[in-house]
Amino acid sequence: MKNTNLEKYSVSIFWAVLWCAIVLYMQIKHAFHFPYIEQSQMFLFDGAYLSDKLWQVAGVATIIEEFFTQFFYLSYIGPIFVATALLCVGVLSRSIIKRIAPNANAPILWLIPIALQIATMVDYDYQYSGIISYIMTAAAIRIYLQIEGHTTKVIISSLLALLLYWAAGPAAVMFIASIAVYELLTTPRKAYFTLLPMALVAIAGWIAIYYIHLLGEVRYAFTPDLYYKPMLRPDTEFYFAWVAMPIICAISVLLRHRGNIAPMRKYAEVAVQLLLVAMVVNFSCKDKEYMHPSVTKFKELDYYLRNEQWDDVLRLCKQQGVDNTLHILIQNIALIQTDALGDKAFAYTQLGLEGITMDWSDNNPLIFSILSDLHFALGNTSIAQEVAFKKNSESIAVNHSYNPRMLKRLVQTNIIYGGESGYDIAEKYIAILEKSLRYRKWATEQRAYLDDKTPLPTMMQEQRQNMHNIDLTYRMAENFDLLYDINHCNLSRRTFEHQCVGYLLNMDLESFHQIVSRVYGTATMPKLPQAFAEALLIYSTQNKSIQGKYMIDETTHKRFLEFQNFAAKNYNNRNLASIMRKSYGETYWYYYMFTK
Amino acid sequence: MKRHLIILTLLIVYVVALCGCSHSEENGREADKPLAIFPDYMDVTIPANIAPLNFRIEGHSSEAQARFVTGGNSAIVKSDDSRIIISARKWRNIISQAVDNGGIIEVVVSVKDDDGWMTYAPFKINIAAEPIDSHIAYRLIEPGYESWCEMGIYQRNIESFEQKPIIENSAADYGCVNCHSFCGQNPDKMLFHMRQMHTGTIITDGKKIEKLNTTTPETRSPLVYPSWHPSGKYVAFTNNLTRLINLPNDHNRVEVYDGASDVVVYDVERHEIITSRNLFSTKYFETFPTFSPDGRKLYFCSADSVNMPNEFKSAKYSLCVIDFDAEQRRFGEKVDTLYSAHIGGRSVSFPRVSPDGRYMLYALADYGNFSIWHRDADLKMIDLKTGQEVDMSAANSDAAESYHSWSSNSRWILFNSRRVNGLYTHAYIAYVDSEGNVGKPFLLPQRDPDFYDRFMKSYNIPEFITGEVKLNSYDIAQFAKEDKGIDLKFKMQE
Repeated sequence: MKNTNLEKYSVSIFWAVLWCAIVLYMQIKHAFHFPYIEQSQMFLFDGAYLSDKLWQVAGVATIIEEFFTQFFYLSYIGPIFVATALLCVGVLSRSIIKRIAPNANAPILWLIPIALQIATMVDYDYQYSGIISYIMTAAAIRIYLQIEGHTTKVIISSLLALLLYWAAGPAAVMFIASIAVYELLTTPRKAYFTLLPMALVAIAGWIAIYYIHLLGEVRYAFTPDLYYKPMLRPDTEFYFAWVAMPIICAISVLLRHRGNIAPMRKYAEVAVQLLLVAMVVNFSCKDKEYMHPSVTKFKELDYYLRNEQWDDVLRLCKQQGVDNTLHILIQNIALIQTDALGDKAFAYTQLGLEGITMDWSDNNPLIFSILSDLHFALGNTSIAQEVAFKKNSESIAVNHSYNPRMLKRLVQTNIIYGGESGYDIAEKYIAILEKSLRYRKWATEQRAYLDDKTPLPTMMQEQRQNMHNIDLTYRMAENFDLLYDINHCNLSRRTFEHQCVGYLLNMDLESFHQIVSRVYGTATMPKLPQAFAEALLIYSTQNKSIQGKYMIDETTHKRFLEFQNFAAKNYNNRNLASIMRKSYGETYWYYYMFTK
Repeated sequence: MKRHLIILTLLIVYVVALCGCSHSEENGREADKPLAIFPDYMDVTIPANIAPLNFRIEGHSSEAQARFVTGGNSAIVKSDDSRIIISARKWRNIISQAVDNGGIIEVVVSVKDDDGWMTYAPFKINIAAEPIDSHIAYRLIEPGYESWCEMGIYQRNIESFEQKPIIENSAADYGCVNCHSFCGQNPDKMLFHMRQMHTGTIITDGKKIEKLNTTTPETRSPLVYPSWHPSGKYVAFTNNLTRLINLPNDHNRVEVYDGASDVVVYDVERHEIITSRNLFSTKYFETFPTFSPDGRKLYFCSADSVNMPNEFKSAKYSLCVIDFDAEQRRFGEKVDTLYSAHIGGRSVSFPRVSPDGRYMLYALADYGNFSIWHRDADLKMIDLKTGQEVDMSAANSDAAESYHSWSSNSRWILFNSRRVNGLYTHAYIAYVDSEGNVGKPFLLPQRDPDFYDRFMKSYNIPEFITGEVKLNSYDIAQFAKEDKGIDLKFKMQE
């Protein structure tokens, strides 16, 4: 009795420790993953929305998933959700093992399904309906193991299989596989009855594909692919957790008649199991792109971006450096938003044109939300709206849910467009956002701008005004003189600074000068930003006629001369770039001379 | 016992009150403003075999009722939230009584507000003598922007609310599916294109499915914009270079244009593309071909070729026609012009002749050929017998009206309009009587009147079909994925 209680306490303590460990791991290592997931799903408090979901395969699991993910923007909620879900898997797995083989010395075996899924929890292409379905299935297996009597087993297993298929989808296959393995190993002569739930699930899946067209392909009907983004194929390791449960059932059956074993052997076995779990964790986390530090950093930068924490973006980029053009794009958006692009663009790492105007012709949805933020910051309402639209469409397709971040952008851009059609369409999106918990208040506030009576906030007024300037930049290639028609505003400065920095990154000083010569001295560019002054000094070395035309301070002139002299003196030094980085790394001259 | 009697009496009083209250709502005050309902079904002409016209009363979310009066009979539909949802059975009764009583239904709407019941002035729904084809087919896509995450071509039984997929891209690796077209309105003979994934044109005839690789060395792209010859032996197509540009400061937010385009005809039996110099010219952009119902003429749109995209506003398409001899597989030598863009100053797209050969329906916009993105685009119609233009003002709105098709009996037109919110296209149906008078169009009815509020897709290329497409979408997708396709030959008429 004392031993049993001790075991209970120790198991409870172990669970509590494990839960805390997962929460802390997720919060420390992947805190920004969860808000990242939240922005691409939206739970609606709407009868029609919920009833549509309930008619889908795994609809119940999806509703539960979406209900919880709506709170992922709050600190710790995501880690707590994941830890609790994984712990449920562990508790149910342990209960299954205990039920099949009470005397098996397998105290750690139940950790295997957790170990196999822990990495998946931070895969942004994974849908948490998978872990919900896993829990439902493990619970169904446990219920089944409680049943006695052949007929009851036939009826209950069939009902559970069908119910699971509706509520949890292809996870029902794991249920059938587990009970089939169990029955084959315990009562092989009677195991044939498991063919019935198997057939029922097969029929249900086939009906879902062929008759009611809920699923497009067989893999969605019968494999965990349903819990992964539909346009992608998961890694092989993704399936291991789903295979693990039938294997655990099989091992448990094989261990159920074990007698007493020597304490030393017992400890040795536990040690082997622990080693096995550690290996599984290592195996499932290794070489996962979604766990790469650059991805983690991207999620953090993206979090600061959508929360308009520009100083945090710049601090992170400065302190930890940038790994790819996506990071640089976010860094440059922060510079634009703080009106510092022209002055400080080269004080931060730059890797060419892609860091300021990313190619999106391949319609890669990952970058759409970032691009929308970039173009919105620049006052390019048209592109900001287009990519927001595409990103929201992608969310609808892959998550069967709206993307609230992009819906908000669509509301903003349609209000900026104005006119009857702009307001009508903004109202459509507002009505959807109002059905959510988090975005309701913001959406209702936007209703005030759905006509021409209430003046728009200054930023949106400027956006509307700047549409004309964007049009000019589109037509600039035909005739640079169109730039004399600019409507000057804060956004026009951003628009043309962005254009100019693009040319500078591309080292196209001729086109850069074409713009500056027309915009300099106007309200759009009353004074030269630092990087532009530096660029013009380079340009003036080849085009003497512009010397003296621009107001460039003496310090910059002097420093440029020093730069030239130093470079000339040390021209043959192989380490010239690293030597000059210390003094001139933040200048355009350095970028122009050393960046390839 | 006494207590039971009291309860029984109260129950009887309650039941009588319930029965009697049907009209008491209308005894309330008269509404001091006009009724607004969505969709707007007021004073529309509908076919007898259409699904129930469920609607919501705008500006209210409280208790309401609608009384449908026809002849001496009436039927009441009640609502707790001002959404009038009519059961199929009740709707059939209302319609059959209306058909027997002059084909007019009067609808009296009453709503309850803080001051009690209020009744609006009644509106009418007219029932036409001619039925409508039982099904329509359309593509559901996100509007514009070349975005095709999830799409499909669907068929909808418009006598009910049942929608089934003909093909969904989720079953075919999420490529693009487009340009569905039926031979006449025959659901057994159709085609559509697949792009990006499992590329080709799928063409079906009964249970037979073929996949065509429509790019040839002589053509510049896969074939698009199909239109069947009435014999089913030919399909006219456009062969074009389509592009999309953003217009950052224009009320038409994007422009879809052809950098080049020609018209060809595909011979279904010989797997051969044929064309003539008049349809395959570099001097002109030829597009949107469609055969006349007798199959002897091929209508198409033609514009002087201009430098795209810089001069996209200069591309104005005329409506032209050329003879076609199906027996000899020969085109005529002369091209006639029905609408000249040089004279009229506007641009024609999507010509469609009514199956009885009487009317030519087309879209007219200020420029270009992708009229659905032009707010100025309207439907126009010519009486081919008299050459006179038919008044289409009842069908048009301030928003874009475009892609349209005819019912098999030539009495109904189905078309797209962005009038609800300026962005999402919805399918509208309008009645055309034997004299060519066009009725007020009505929005495709849905089970839930709020459906269009949350629906995030556009209805694209709505087409009438006389019945259900029986091929299963899964079978079609599997075929498209597995079949390598038939390569086509190309022949220019000497």
